Amino acid sequence: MKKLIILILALITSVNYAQIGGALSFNDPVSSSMGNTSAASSRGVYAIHRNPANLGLTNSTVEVATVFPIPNIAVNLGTDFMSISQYNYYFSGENNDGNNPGRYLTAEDKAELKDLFSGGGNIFTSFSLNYLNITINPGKEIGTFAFSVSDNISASFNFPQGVIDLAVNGNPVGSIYDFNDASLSSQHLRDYTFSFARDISDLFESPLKSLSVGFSVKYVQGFAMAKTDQIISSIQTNGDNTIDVTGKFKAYAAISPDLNITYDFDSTSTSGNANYSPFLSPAGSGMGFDFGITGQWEFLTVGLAVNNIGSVTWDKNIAVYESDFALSVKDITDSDALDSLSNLVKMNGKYYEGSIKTSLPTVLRVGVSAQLDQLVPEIPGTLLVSADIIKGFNTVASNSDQLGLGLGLEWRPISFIPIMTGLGFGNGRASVAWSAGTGLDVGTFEFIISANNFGAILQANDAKEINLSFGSRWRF
Amino acid sequence: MIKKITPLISALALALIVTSCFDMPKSPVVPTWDVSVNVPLMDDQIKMVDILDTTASSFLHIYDESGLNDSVYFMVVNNIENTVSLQDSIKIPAPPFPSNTHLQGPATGGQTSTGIVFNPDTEYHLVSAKFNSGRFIFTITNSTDNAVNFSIIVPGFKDRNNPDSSLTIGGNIAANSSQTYDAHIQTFTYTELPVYEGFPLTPPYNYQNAAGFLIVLNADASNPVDLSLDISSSPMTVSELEGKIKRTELSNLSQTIFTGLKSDISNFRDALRLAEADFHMGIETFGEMKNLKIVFNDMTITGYNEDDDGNLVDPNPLIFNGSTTFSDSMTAGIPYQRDFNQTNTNINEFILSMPAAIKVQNNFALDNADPDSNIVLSTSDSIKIIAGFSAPLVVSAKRASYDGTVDMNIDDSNRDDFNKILSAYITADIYNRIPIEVVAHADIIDQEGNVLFTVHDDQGNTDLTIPGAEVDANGIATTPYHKVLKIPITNQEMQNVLDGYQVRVSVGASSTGSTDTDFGPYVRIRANDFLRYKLKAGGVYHVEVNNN
Repeated sequence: MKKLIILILALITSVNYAQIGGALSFNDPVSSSMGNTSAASSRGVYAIHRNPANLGLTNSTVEVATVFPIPNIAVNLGTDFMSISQYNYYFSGENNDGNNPGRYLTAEDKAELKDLFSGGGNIFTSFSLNYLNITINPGKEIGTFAFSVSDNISASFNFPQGVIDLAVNGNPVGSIYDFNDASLSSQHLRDYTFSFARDISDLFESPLKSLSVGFSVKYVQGFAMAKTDQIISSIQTNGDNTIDVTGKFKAYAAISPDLNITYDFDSTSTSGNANYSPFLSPAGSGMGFDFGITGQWEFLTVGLAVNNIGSVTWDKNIAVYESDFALSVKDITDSDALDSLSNLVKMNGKYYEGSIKTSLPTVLRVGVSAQLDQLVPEIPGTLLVSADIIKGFNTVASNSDQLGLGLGLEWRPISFIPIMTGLGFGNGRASVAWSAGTGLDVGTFEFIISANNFGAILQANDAKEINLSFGSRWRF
Repeated sequence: MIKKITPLISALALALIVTSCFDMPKSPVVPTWDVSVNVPLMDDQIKMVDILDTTASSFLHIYDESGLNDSVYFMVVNNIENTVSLQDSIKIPAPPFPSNTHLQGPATGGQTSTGIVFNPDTEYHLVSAKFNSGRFIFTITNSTDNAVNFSIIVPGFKDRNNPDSSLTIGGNIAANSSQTYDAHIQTFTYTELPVYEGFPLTPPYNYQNAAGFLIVLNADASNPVDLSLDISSSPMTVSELEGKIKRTELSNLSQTIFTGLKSDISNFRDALRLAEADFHMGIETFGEMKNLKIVFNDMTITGYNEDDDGNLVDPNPLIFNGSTTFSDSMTAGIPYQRDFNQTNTNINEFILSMPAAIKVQNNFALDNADPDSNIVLSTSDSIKIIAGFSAPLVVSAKRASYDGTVDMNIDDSNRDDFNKILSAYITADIYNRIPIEVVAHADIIDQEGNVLFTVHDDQGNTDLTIPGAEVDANGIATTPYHKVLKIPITNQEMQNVLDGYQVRVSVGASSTGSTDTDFGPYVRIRANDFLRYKLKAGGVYHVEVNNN
C-alpha cells in the first residue's frame, strides 16, 4: 500500500509544481456508509457540512465530535482506470513479485493497457480531518448552533491518454497525439464553519411534523494550491518523419509563506525551515455558504441543501508557470535545434502579482429518507432508508459536475449496533459503488467506521479505489 | 439476541476475510514492450562550396562576384611572380690591353696636345651614361730630361655638381719618370661628343672621330716634350645609359610555389580530364628601358611531389611543344603575354599530376632590340614575370574509387541500445544537383576480414548509387537527380553489425555520363551545385528500462 501511495504521489508530483490541495467536503462516516445520502438523513454534527437544516432536527442538547477518543478522518485514494491486480500485472514484473525483469507486453497486453486509459486516467486522493464539531441546541424555540473546524486536502490528476498511446504505439507516420486531457487540481483548505438551524414549523399551520431551515457561514483558509489553467499540447508525426510539437501550458501554485518553500525560479530567496503550526499563515482565503431546508411528515423526511457556495482568493506567494511553443523537429542530429526544443518545452515560472480565485466544490443535494420500521412494525429494530440526488457545479478536486444518485439504509437490529449500507451511482464513477459501515452507538458515544466503496474492498485486487471514514461523537 | 447478532458477526467476518485477500501493490517494475519509432535524422543541403573549402587550399578558387556562389571551381596557381632588377647588370669590362698615345712637342717648348678615343669594349657604345662605379687608369711617362707640366682631360665626363668641369687629371711629371693616376667616374655624367669618323682630333676637341671615350693629353713646357700615356680602365658599372650594349645575361630566376595539393588526390589523375586548363605567363618591364630586347632562355616549369620528409621528388616537367624548355624574347616597354593550353603543352597531365610544388626557372638576357637604334636603360629598371595555372573544374571523370576502412568503436551502452532495435530502416530522400555520380559500398567485417554484413537497399543492391545531375550542352547541372534510397536492417543484421570490427568502405565517383571505362561529356563543377538530402529512420524498438 505504501508503495502504491508513493507511486501515485509520484505521478501527481511529476507535474512541475508539487502541492496538494483539497475539497471542502468532509466525508462523515455515516453518510459515507449510506451511499453518500445525507440531505434528509444526516443528523447532529454530521449535518453541518451536509444539510445545516438538519441541525434543527437534532435531539441532543450538545453534541461534540473531536479528535478524542477517535478522530473523524476520511481518506480516499484511487484511480478510475487501474485496479491493484492490473497494477500488479503490468508493473510488478514477469513473476509478479516486484523483483524481476519488467513484464513483456504482448499486443493484447498493450491493447488492454490502452483500454484501461480510454475512459480517462484520473488519479485522486483526498484526506479530511475534523478537529472539532460541536452543536448546541438550547431549545426548539431558539434553534441549534454549530461550529466546525476541519482540514481538507485533495488532489486530482488526470493522466493524459495520449501519453499511454504514444508509449504503446510509438509514433507511426501520420499519428497525432494530444495531451489536452491532462489536468491537476489540488488544494489544502481549512474551514471554520458556523451554522444555525431552527425548526420553523411552529410559525405557521402545517401538516408537517417539522420544517427546519439552516445555514452555514464558512471562513475558508487556503494553505496550498496547485492547478492547471490550460494544457494544449500535441505531437504529430508527418510523412517525412518530421515531428511537430506544440505545447501551451499554464498553471498556478500558491503556498503558505510559513512553509518556506522556495520556487525553483526564485534564486534570490533561500529555503528556511518550515514553520509548521496548527495555525499556518494562509496563502488565500474566502467565504463559503451552505443553506438547507428539511421537512418531516410522518415517517418521511425530505431535505434540500446547497453546500459550498463561494470561493477562495489566493493572493500570497503565487507562482505562475507557463510555456508556449510550436516547433517542428526536422533533424534529431541538430543539437542546436534540440537545445532550442529543450528550452522551449521548459516551463518558465515567475511570481504572479495578481490573485487567483478557486471555487469551492459547490454541490446540490436533494434527498428523502423514511423510517421504515414505523411503517412496517415487523421489521426488527429500526430501519432508515434514504435516497439523494447529488449534483456538483464544478470539477474542483473531490467534486463532480455529473449527476449522482445515492441510496442508503441504516438498520439497527440491535439498537447500539448500526448496520449501514448503500449504493452510489454516477458522480463520475464508472460503476456502482457499494458502501457499508457499522460501529457502536451507546447513546452518549458513537463510533462509526465505513467505506464509501465497500464493494471495492470486496473486489480485493480488482479494486480501483480505497476509501475509509471513521469517527466518533459525544451526545449529551 | 444471539440470533440477531449472528448475521452481523458473519458480515464483519466476511469483510475481514475479503480484506485480507488484498495483494499489496508490488515494487514498481516498468514493463518492457516493443514500440514503433519514426524520427527525422537529418534534413540538410550541402553545396559544393561546403565540400570544397576554398579557404583550406590556395589552389582552389571560386569567383563569386555575384555572391550567389554561381561560379565554377578553378584550380589556380597564380602567385608565380618574380622581379628581376637590372641593378649592376650592365658592366663594361676592363680592356684586355691598355691603349696608348704619345705626345711630342717642339724643342723650344710651349703648349702641345693630342687626343685619343679609348674604347674598353667595342660592343658597347655609350651615347650618354652614368656610372655606379669604375675608373680610368692613366700611366704617363716623361722620357725627357726635363720636368713637364701636363693635364689629361676626358671632355665627355662632366662633374654632376659642376657641369662646366670635365674630368681632368693634371700635374708635373719629373724628368725620365712615370706616374699612374686613377680617375673615378661615378660622380660624372658622360655624354659622348659628336662623332665624325675620319676627322683628325685637333684642338679644341669638340668632336671625336670614333665611338668611345675621347681623352686629351695636354703638355706645357719650356723644353722639348716627350710624353707617353697608357690608358686602361677598371670594369665600369653603368647605372644609366643610352647607346648600345652587347648581349648581357641577367641573374637566373628560380621560384618554387607550394600548391597545397595532397598526393592522395592524385589517385584520381588517371580517371580525370580537364577541358580548359591553361598556363599563362606575362612579362612586363618597368623603368626607362627602350629598344631593349629581353630574352628568356630555357624556361622550365616542373612539378614535384613532396615526400614524407618534405623533400621535393618525382619531377614532372611541363612540356612545351615536345620540349621541356621554352625560349622567347620581348621588347622592353611592350608587355608580353603568353598562354599555353593543351594544344601546345601537356597542361592537363601536368595539373592532374596534382603537384605539391611547382618550380619555375628562367634565364633572362638583355640585348639591343634594333641595331640602328640606341637603347635606353637604367639600373633602377626591372623586369617582372607573372605566371599562373588556371584550370576550371570542367571535367570528365571515369569512375575512380577511394577505398578505406574505419574502425568501429561501439561502447557497451551504445551496444545495449542497438541491441534493442528489433528492426530498422533508414530512408534517404536525395536530390543531387552535382554532376557527379557516387557509388558507395560498405562491408562490416570482423578481425579476420570476414564480411559480416553488407549495407544494401531494399532491392538487395549492395552498391548504393546516387546518380549525378543532368547537364546541359555546356556541362552545367540542370535537373537534380531525385533518388529515394531505403536501407532496411533486420535484428539479425543488427547483431552482425554489432559484432563488426571495421567498416570497409569503397566510394566511387564519376562525372555524369562517364562510365567505369569511358569518359563522358565534360561537366562543370560549380560552387552552388548541391546535394539536398532528407534522412529519416524508424523501426521497432524494444523498450526496456533499468529497474534497479
